[in-house]
Amino acid sequence: MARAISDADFVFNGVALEDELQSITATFSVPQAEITSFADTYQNVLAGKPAVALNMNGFWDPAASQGDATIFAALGGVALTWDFEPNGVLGYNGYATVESYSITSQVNAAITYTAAMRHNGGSAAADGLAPTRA
Amino acid sequence: MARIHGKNTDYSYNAIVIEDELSQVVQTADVPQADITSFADAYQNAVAGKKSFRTELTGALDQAASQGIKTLQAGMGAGTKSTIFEPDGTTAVGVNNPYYKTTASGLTGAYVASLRISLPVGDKAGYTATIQHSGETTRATS
Repeated sequence: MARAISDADFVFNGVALEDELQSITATFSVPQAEITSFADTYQNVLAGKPAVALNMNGFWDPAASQGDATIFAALGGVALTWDFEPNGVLGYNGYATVESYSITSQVNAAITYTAAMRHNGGSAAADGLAPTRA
Repeated sequence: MARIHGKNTDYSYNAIVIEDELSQVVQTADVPQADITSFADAYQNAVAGKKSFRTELTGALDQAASQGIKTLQAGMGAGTKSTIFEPDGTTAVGVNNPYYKTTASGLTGAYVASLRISLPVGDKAGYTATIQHSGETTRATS
């Protein structure tokens, strides 16, 4: 009956980003193939292959060792390592590509960014394996 | 661990400084993902395609000849132009103080994809613009 406080850690390509992030969402989804037939009383489906999407937002930090340099360098490249620990201790890891990266400058607010990543490997880039729950 | 305010952001289009009329700049990089999932894969699988950048601008209307609207309108349907986006407005460019730029050269540079002027009766005259980058956008540190 544990209730973990939000003390999340997130590392991408070996760079800890939790010192600039304020929200991380890991979405595990499974596409459902419709198999409902006329004889079925209820709708009927089968599970397909799972996927993991990683979405985050935080404060833009231009330092060379921080998120902006790390994410920008990963755009269009091969998948790199990710490690998400929701409670700062246990979590999930694997390899992911960057799908989008957006920087917002507003005259009356801090500079922020959002990034979206897509898991594509468990122990190597594009190996099609599940993330590790560790 | 820096937290930087957006109040000093700089943005220029075709060498015309327009941060004096802008109140928001959003630069977005998108990377299309090509699905490569095979029957043997446990999870869905994809590889990254070619990246592209676009910038969305929001500002107050300034119709002066040297300002944004005239400059952006002139860029519509024209060739590529150069842009510079400095989120923190830094003047001390370095590895920890980057800026983003696209430099007009051949097919590389920035196009004005859309320009929308709003003239509400109860508010300021303003505009939004979408700048589509073509070719390389650089994270410059020098």
